[in-house]
Amino acid sequence: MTKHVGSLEQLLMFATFRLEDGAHGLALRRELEAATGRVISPGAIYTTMDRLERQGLVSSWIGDDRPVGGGRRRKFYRLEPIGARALADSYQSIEALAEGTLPALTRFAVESEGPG
Amino acid sequence: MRAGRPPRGGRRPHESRGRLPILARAILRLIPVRDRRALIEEDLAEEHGRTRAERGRLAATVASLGGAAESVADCWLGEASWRSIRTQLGPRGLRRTGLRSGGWLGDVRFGLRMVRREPVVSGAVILTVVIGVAATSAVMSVLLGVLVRPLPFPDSDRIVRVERSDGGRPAQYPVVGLLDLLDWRERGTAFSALAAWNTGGLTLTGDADPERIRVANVTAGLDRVLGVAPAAGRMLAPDEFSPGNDGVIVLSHAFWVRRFGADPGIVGSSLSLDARPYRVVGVLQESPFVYPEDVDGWVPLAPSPDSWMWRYRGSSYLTAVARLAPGLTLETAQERMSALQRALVEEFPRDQEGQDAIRLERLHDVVVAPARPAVRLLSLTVAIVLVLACANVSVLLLSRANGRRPELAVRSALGGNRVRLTRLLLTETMVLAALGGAIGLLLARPLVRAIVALVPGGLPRAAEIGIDGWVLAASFAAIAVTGVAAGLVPAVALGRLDVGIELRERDGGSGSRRERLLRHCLVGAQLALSACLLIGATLLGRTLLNLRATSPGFEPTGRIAFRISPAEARYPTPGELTGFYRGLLEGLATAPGIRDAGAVNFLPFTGGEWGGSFEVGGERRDARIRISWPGYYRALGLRVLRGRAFDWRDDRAAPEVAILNEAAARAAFQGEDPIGRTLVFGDRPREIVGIVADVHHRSLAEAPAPELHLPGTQQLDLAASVIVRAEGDPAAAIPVARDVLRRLDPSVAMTSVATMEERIETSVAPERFRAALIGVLGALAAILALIGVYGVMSYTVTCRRREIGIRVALGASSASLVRRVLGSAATVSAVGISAGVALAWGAARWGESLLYGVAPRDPVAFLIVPALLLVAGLLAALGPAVRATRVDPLTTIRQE
Repeated sequence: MTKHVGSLEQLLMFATFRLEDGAHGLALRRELEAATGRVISPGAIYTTMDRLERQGLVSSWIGDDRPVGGGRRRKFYRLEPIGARALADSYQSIEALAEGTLPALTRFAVESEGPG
Repeated sequence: MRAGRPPRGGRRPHESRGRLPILARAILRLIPVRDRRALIEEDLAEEHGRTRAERGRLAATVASLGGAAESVADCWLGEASWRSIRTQLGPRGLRRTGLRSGGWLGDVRFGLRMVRREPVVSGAVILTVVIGVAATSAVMSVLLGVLVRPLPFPDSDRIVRVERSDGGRPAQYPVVGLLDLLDWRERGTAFSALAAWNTGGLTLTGDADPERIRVANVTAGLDRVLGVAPAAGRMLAPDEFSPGNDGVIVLSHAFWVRRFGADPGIVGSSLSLDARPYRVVGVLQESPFVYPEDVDGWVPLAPSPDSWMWRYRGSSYLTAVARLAPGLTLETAQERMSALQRALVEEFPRDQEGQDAIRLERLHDVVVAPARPAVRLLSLTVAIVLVLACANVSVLLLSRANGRRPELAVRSALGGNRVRLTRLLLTETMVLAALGGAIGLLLARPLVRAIVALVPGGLPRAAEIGIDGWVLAASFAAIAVTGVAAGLVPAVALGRLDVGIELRERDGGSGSRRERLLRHCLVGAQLALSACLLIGATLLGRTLLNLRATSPGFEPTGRIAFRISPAEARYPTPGELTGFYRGLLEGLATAPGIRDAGAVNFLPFTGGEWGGSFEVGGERRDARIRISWPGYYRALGLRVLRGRAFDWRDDRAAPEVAILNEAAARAAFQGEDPIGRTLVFGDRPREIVGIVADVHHRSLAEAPAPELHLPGTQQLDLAASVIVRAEGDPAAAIPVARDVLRRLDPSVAMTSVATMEERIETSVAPERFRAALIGVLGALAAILALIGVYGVMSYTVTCRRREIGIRVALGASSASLVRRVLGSAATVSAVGISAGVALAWGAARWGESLLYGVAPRDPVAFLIVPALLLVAGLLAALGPAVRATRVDPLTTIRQE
């Protein structure tokens, strides 16, 4: 099983961006679960999102999850421009470090694990 | 993000989802931030519903519980500091947390916010709690350290003192004789160990200045009774309790440290005590409480075979202590010992009647008995202070809470239920109590030191008094009791809020008539108590001043005295002893910086007394016997009224002479001139050669007793107090005197050095203690009462804002408003203070024995104290009165 790497904050910001207007807590959680296979508690999600919000990287509002009404009241998040820049910066630095290493990493991991 | 923000969603009923198990919801309560908790709960509930549909109820429950627990952990870990939580909540969130949602943390923050918002009321509450807690913890630590905590010996509750008794009560001198002790040890079955001791003084000579040390002469087995062990060396061995082998000593730990710097090499070495070699065989273990108390060492009690101790069964001179035999109760041991003693009395008839019964008393009770009255008095006063403090905090909080009635009513209408509201108010009180309590605890330690220093004669086991876990627990209990008791009253009062009435009337008036009466009674009672205490303190203070102003009968200024005890072995004959004293006193009188020197067996204000009697014309007169050496009267500043003082010519070859004091002369001669007359003392006639002035001997309050003075040159007495009159600073005369003494006899130690002024001051210690205690208590009660006046007046002004507003609108002047408030304060104060004065008036006769030179119904105390207290009460009401003038009629009316 592959080990998850990367910070929860980065993952959540990516998920927020991908989900566009549907980025509420539960959706973020499911998105992360689908992408990483890891179940994250709602507590961790909201705590992290609140922290990001305090840093001004994301913003939030309370809204209904169905535009026509009758849905559930949820807290939605949106990536702010400053957050997008921070995320882009960190992604670039990861990419710069990671560039071209994937085949070697995979080979290394497979060889190290070995047949046994 | 490309899309614009969606419109804010309205509040709509949520679609039905799976409900979270109650346990999961309970776990989620641990999340402090309510908004986040709601979101998480909703998410988990949604997941729960889905999981249950897909994988069944059990799997859903397990997943939800796990999710809830994990969420709680993540929330706390994600927000490591309180600060971040507060930042998140924001001021509005905080308030909401406080009122609308659960969470004690929110209540605490709410409480803290209220402290800041109303600093004066909060400060008054905190000050009240500080006083209550500081007093409680200080007195608790004294109480526990002195009375409650067991003595620091193994199974110390099994150690008893064995004493002679007089009809069930302990004898005046609860001591026993050696012969009885040995029979008890041989025939008794009540004890597993039995030993006895008495104390004596020995003079230690060597390299350093000679020092008088106090030793316990102990029988074998005292270490087994007490269960003490040596810190170095060994205890006394059985064969050392016989004459000739008894030149050994076990040093006390404190003396070992003080005199020998805790040098372990001292064990095995030899000390010269009273010019006799003693080998140090051991050092006692360190302990906060040593028994026998205040001794520097243990030496064996080894009377020679021809000692009087072996002859008289009636004499008693030893303090006996024992350890109860295993499994035996005190009562059984008592029965066995009583039976044994009855048999012994029958077998060996006594020389003296009475006091032959035996009584066992726990050593702990014996040790702490002298402190019981003082500690009880302290505890009682502290209980009063604490009750006053609670009453006060209640009044203050009630006043504050009342100002918020409408606000709280609205909030309660919006969903804060009564339990919630009560809890909030209680938590607020607890926050104040905790703040006050913390400061109070900080003050407790210095307060303990003050109490220990102030208690006359010192407290037993003073070294064991300290702030420990028990004291902390007691103090926290006091804080909790204060907080709950004081917080409950306003909580209950507000719990009855009726939203309709609160909103309609705004102004609740100042509560019902009954409530108002109760509040006024509370404050009135406090004023009454403080008036009573302050009157008492004034009387006791005047007593102290009167005592200090009383002449002791001699001139204390510039005089310093010390005690000496020359060894009998060095001065076996009266001539040699006289030679020593003459050399000493003449040497002192001619030494630089010393004007006069004298000596007497029992110096005033120094303790010790020799009661005796003399006969004049066949009639016996009781008198205190003083043996004085030439120069004593001049050195003490005691006037010789008629005749002459003793001088060195009154030696054993000369006719025997005596001097009386005024009181003795008056009693024996009724106005006739006693000079030249003869009195009989100890079957020998003596000529009266002088009359001296009366002196107070033990206390300034006690009338001078008749005294018979005999010259030391004719009446042998080894020990004496030497008094010198210095030219300047009396303390500077001591090194000079020490020098004179060393040159004369280097083996004589100088002890109990103190100026006469210090000795007199020590004698008024009980009066000082009483005056200080009642004075401090009265001051505290007054502070609390004034805070109470302030609280009630604030309350009234807040409640009557509307009425005041209308008055202002109708043209009432500021002065008239101030007058109204002050008038109300004056009424409460006057009634309370009058009650206190009446109480003091009634109790005055009861305290008469404590007073000196002041009438129990002293007009000064009974007029000035109430007047000052009334003025202070009005000053306390001034703040609220001024606040009344600031009431803006428009604002009040607009609030309607």
